[in-house]
Amino acid sequence: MISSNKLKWFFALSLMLLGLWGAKGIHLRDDVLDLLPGQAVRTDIEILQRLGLVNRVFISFEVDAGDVQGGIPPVSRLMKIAEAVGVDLKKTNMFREVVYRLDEGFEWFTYDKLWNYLPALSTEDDLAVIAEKLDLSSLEKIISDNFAQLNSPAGIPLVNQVRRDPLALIGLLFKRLEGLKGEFSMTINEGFFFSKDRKSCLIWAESLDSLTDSVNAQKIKDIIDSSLKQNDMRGVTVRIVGTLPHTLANAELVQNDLRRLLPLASISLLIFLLFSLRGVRAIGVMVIPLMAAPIAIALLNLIYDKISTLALGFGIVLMGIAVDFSIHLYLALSAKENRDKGLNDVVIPISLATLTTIGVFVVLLFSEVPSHRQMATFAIIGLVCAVFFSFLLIPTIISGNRLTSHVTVRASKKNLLHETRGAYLKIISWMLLILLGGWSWTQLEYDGDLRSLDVPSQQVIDDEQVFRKTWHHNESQTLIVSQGKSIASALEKNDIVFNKLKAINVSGVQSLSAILPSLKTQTENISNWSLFWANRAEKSKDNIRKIGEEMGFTADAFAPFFRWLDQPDNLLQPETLLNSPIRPILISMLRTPASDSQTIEKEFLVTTIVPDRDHLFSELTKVLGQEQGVTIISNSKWRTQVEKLLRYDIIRLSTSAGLLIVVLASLYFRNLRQTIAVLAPVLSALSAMAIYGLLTTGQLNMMHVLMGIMVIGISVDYGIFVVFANKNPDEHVTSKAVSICAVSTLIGFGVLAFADHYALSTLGATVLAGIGAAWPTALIVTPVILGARRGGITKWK
Amino acid sequence: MAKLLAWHSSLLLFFLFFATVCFVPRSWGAEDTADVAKLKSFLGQIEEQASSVDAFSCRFEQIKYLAIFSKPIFFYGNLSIDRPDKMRWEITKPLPSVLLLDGENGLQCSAGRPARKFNTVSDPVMKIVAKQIWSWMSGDYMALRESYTISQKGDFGILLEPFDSAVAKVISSVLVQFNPVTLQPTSVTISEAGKDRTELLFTDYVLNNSFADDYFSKCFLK
Repeated sequence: MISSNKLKWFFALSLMLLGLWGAKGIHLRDDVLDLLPGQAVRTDIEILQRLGLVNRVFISFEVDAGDVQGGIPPVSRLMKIAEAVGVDLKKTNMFREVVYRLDEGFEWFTYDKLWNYLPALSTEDDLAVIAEKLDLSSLEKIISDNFAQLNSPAGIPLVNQVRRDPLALIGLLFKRLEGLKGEFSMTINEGFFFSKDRKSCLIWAESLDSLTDSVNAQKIKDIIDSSLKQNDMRGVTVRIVGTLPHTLANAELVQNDLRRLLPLASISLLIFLLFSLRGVRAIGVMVIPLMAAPIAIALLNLIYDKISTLALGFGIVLMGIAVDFSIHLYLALSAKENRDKGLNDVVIPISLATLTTIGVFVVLLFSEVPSHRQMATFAIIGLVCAVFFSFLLIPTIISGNRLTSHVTVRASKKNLLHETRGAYLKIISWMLLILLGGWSWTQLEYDGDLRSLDVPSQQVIDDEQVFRKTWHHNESQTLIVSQGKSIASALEKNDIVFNKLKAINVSGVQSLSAILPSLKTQTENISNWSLFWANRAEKSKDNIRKIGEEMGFTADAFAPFFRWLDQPDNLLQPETLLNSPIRPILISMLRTPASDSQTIEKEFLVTTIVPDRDHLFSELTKVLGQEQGVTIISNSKWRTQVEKLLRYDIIRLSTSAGLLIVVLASLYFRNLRQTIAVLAPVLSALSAMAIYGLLTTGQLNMMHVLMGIMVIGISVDYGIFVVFANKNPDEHVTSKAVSICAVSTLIGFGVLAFADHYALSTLGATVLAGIGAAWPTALIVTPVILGARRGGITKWK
Repeated sequence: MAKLLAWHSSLLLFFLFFATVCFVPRSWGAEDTADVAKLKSFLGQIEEQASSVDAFSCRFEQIKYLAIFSKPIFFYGNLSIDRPDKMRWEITKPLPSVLLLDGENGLQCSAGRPARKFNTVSDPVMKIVAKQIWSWMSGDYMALRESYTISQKGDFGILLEPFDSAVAKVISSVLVQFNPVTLQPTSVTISEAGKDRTELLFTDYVLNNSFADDYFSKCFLK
């Protein structure tokens, strides 16, 4: 006959195995989008991702100018290395684009190809320049220059060019290409990208996978390192810049911290539980609630397609709160000879504590940040399952437990929960803490800058500084992105943007409109061009012929130019540029849909770049804000927007969590004193966190506030258990249970206070401060508020 | 692309005579026909003469026979070379102008116009001009052999014809004639596509002369 205990374990293990099976298909992802609030902000960063800005990695190779290795001059070495690494990266198929040089023939692309589209690209300003050239005195000067040029050492190959373009109109196109210099200051040497001092050579690549994911980042780093190993890198300094080194530096730091601290925390916790619960069954107390994790993960997998790694990690941590309930249950059952009585004593407080804790996480479900919502969902499901498992299985490990007598003996000596000596001192001390805490909250500044959670290594910081100096990389840019379902509509919007920027005299604009206006604009340009020449062509041809003959040219020397003027005009299709040697310059400004189709990925994106100056953003918003399909993304303003939204989200959630706790406590206890007693540890926790924050950084960040919400959920449980215990004069284990719970939480989170990574150490310190205050408050102040006697009527001594 | 190749070939050939004045030709390899032997011997003599020259100046007369000109155009000037990377090509008549190369930097000046600085790395046209000039300055005949067929014309002339058909569309051949006694180039004739050609006549050589420090960095145009 199978005992009911075995059946329970069989049932629980079956559920756990089912959970494991359900969880095996889990799709994890590490996406910065999961950390960002608000759809508008997420759309912005989705655009940035599609533009390839987030997943770009830059590799800068540097040499000393005089360092000749193996007889090869430094510049040649750099070109050789850049080409070798570029080719290696391309071969891996891990990159959407790898740019290490412009294709051969890029210098002549303008002469050979783009020249044919000059009428389609010419603006009114260009026509004004041409009109000046057609002036008689200008023509004489120009033809004379042509004559001299043809007779110089550079003359032989220029014959056809001079015949085709005696007015040097090609200069109008060169000016446009100059304007598309991108975000770096560089010179092009045989197609390779060199710094102005020619000591550095740059290549860049856009990863197909997200570089905010540490696994992907490491893969890419390994590929780069492998390629570098195969080349002679003597005397060459390599600097890798972009998202990748930040991701790896942070991941390494977190991993080192966790590697160091997690085993310490786990072992310390286990030893502590073994010691305090007096037996190996303590392991069961710790493990039973966590058996619910696979089920929770499996259920989470049913709800969400992809699960944020961050949400999963934190969710598991939050599930650790359930260990508190299993400790209370274990001790309560162990202390009573009548197990049913023991169970009755704790089922309501555990249920209420579970409800309040879940309530806090329900509030988090309304967060604007997707990973918070997932975290909350996971924690709620996990807690419910964990509590169920605890009620199911903890009793099975109590049978024949000798703990009972020990607990009873210890409890009879002293019960803190009934101690009211020094009540006034305790209350006053507590109120002083609350007042100080309240004042501290008003002094704290909210630091919403996500970069404060970024901990790059010194190497990363140094590399970025040198990179900025070498390449004059301007991070302060505003991007104006024009989106369209077709390339034609995207380019038309881009033209509108360009014209509006011109109208408000914005300088430093880099726009594709200069070299690839929409077909609509090109048709207008051609029409203007035809109109321009209609009145001038014959007279100009006569003048050129006449001046040429005087100089020594034949009458038909410039016949190719005259024929070109009479030719039908061509429209420049985007494919012509995208398949040209200047493609690398263009691809960051013109994005076509990828093969996988998500909504935004179906659209074409055309980017205009302007410097990010004060007040420009608001001016741009005024001028362009109403344009459909045009998004303005300013680095600085975007960050401010994210911070504002995060702050609003966090304040809203933490206020809601606090109010919910108050409402739940009030609704259940219907007694002001008991409600205050329940909330006393919460108030102490929040005050301690504020005081600690003020004494250390003077700032709060997102991690503080998230953990604060968790601390509210934990500390209110202490108050609940103490209030219930206080009602029962025979109750002796709650103070020990609360203490064990508090110490286990302090051990589990407190070790993180010693982490090197700022986010982890913040998390640990917050919990230390909060629980460190909530624990003694629950044991010392809550009973005082309630009073010493049964029923909770105050009688202070 | 044709233009790029035209540059490559034209200047390669145009400054061939520098090679014959200043360069140390490499060996020709294992060909053993009588003509090749004679050519090798001839170039050997030129090489011996050229190896003793680090710098020189000369006068030149340039005659352009281009279809787009109604008559042959005559230009006169002076050429100075200081190995390994300095050149001054100065036209004195009819339209004074100067082209200077000093390492990677260059300067183009014309009378009555502002001077134009250029960098032979970033300027695509001048990059090719300089590259070819200095490839000849380095004295690497082997590089020329890889791109051109070299044959002897008469007792004191050599003819270069490009292998590459794209180059040949712009430059069909270059003929260099040498002084029988001094073995200095006396003329270079560049035959271009169609019937265009450029003739350069060199006289009044001064070998191993010295120059002022700024001779290759300032135009001094009047």
